[in-house]
Amino acid sequence: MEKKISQLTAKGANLSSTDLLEISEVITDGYASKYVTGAEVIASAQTGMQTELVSGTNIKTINSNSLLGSGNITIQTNPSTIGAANGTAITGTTIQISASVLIPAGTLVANNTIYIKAFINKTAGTGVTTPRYYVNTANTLTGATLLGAGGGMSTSVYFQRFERNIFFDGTNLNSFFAGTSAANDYTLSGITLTAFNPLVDNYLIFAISNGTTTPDNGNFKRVIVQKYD
Amino acid sequence: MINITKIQGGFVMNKTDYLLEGEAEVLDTTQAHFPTDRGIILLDTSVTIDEQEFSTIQLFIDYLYK
Repeated sequence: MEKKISQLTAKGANLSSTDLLEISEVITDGYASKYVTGAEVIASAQTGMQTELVSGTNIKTINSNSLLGSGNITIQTNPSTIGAANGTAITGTTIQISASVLIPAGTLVANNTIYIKAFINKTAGTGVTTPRYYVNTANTLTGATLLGAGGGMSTSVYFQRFERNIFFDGTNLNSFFAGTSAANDYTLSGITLTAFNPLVDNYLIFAISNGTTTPDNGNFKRVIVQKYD
Repeated sequence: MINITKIQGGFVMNKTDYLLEGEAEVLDTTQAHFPTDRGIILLDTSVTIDEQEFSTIQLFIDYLYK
């Protein structure tokens, strides 16, 4: 008996991979059966579809938080890191660049604060090593403006944690008095105002000079520069 | 190489006027800090003044301040 597909009785259950969808074709001496399996139908239907996401299995988490679901995940962007650098050890009495960090044009706007934290060390020598930092529109000390100086490192002082906060008022960098040598700016001081154009590239340059020649070898070993909105 | 132009009481560098506000601090034979109205500027003997070269920073200072 011939019967249209649309006249077939519904299965009444989900298609399973072991089901067979058969079609009989009338041929000269009877019928020829053709079929596809449920598994083939399912596989065909799923072609190009994304595998179900399982948090932590095929989609990563952020700080152990699942990314699945609707809504927004707020990422902390304040402070942001402007740049970081590993310095090189400097020998000799001439002021030389140990490390520098680029502040790209457009990075700073009025009322931003730059936070500098650095680790300064030396591994040899007993002369006075002086760390200083400058700002310039080129990565060179020539023509650079002094922003400040860290503490002098002599005899067995081989470690210094250097920190500065610099407020940008839209025109000037406001910083701890440049003429005072200090490891940090936690204390009261005069203020140094340094003209700063945020619309061009600027470099924070971290430099070292030594009171004596080799073996004194000061180094801004690690510098991190952050921006607070 | 940077060339600066000497003006009354200061110099011009990169089209910006700098007015000297105190004596230079010699850092070594080639470098010195110059207090100006725009901050303390590091200059060295790679810089020429009015296209003149100087073999020592002291000669550089003498020319700039005379």
